Amino acid sequence: MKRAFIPLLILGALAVVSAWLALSFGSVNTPWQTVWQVISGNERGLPFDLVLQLRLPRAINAFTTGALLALAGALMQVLLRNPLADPYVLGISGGAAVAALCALLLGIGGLWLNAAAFAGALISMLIVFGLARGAGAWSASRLLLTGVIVASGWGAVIGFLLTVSPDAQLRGMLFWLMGDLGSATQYGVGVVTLVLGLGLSLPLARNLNVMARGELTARALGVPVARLRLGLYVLASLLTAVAVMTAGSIGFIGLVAPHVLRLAVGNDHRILLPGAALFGGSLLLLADTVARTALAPQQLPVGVVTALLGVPVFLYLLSRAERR
Amino acid sequence: MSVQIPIIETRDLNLSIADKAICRNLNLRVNPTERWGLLGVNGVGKTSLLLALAGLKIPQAGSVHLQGRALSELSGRQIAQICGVMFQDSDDAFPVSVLETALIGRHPYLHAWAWESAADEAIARAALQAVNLSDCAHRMTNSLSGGERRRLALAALLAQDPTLMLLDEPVNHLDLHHQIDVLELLTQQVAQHGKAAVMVLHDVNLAMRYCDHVMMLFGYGEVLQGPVQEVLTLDNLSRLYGHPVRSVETPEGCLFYPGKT
Repeated sequence: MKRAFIPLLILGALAVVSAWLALSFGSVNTPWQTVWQVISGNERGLPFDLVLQLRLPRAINAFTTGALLALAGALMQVLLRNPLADPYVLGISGGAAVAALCALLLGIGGLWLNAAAFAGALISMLIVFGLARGAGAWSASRLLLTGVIVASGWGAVIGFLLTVSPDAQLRGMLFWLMGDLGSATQYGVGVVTLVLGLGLSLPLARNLNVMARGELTARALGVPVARLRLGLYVLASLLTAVAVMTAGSIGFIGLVAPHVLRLAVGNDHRILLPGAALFGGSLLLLADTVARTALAPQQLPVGVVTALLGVPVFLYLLSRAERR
Repeated sequence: MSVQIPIIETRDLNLSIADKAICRNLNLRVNPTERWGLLGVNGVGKTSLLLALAGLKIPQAGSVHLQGRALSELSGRQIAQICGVMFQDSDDAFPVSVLETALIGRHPYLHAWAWESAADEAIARAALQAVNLSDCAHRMTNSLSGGERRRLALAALLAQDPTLMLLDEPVNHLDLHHQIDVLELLTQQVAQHGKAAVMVLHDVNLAMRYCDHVMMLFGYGEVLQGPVQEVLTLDNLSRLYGHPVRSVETPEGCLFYPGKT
């Protein structure tokens, strides 16, 4: 219990700092004192609109999306017995993207676009599950292979859709594919899903520690492995589906956040799961602040920023881990 | 002799893998303080039988009873509090510290939200001490040698503190003095705490010295079981391994060796 306190405290502080940065910076920079006055209710003018109505919903969305992806990534890594798995590896984002692009092609926007993306993610999840289950045996490698193949199938469909789409819609489609937080307005679903996801996965954390030691070992210690794997699959898929629905497919957060934590604090999932949620949320919040401000007034898709920052950081960590 | 409840008992157990019979109508009774050796050639199904005893493999027919209760009546947690398994190899996809690995053995005793208590940690440290790994408590599992891994797996089993220990090749990868240490430790655990052990062994001489009962798997479902003195005969061993086995008397007992054909 004591071991969890310090890492989670540091990550919590990181989340607070990222939130402050996200609320302060934008087309107009707001000093931190003013941000504090807005939050504490003492400031009602233009900064109030700016901070609370424009930046705050977007910041909440960025944080919850990052947290959902990182939590889903951490769960998926145990499920697939592979510390380098990410939430998209089983084709969930591909299914969501195909459905979302179809919706965009038909001129559907707003909430219906989100609904289409969510439905696409669920369909992909059911396809992979059904195919991997086929013969009864349900090994991690079979699930992974099925997911990777289905994902590459979605990739081909995405390529096809982009080719036949009229130029006018192409830009919106590309933004969706790269991941973008600018269009999201609702944050209720994301927050509720995150709370539910943590509430359901935290009591399983010690089971995950045991399962990480091998499936037979886990079963011999009384862990209901078959049920746990099914639960992990459904939970991680739903978390990913909600994240993709909110912000498109944002790369690297779901892989880098849990993996960096594995290197830094170890593989105890009682620390790792809440830690990954805090860290992933903070990372995406910071990346989105950069995406809004780096080339202002031009906005970058946040997925571009996470990949540009994530690739070198990850390569560095990998080379360091090799040498250890 | 009084009638005691066996720690584990099989009733007409039929087990086969992919149409290959491992045992047919096996009636096994393992009583407290007994040490059983499980012998057989590679691929004859020793590990599968061990898994069936632990409830990790469903037999085709018959039943397994732990302390008089059928496995099907017990939850996974309850089984894990009575029966523990030491597997042949461990998985290192997610390396953790040696102490954390030993603490895994406490899992069946803890509730979902619980963290290991100081008492659990003391048990795990004592287990590491018993297998001579105290100095490595904070090393990562992926930095251990094959032999250290085996001893760590045994420490996790000791921390689990089951009444029945099922061990799949517990002395594999170990050098001579560690082999003896491990088997002495098991003998002492069994004798002092009224436990029982069933272990897959490849060395007949170690089975002779450290087991009081043996079970031989001949393949095609044929199983021979009984006290060491009755079952470990030259004829049985030669038939079991498909190679003539001879013996020589030494001041410290009988020693088996493979004969020249």
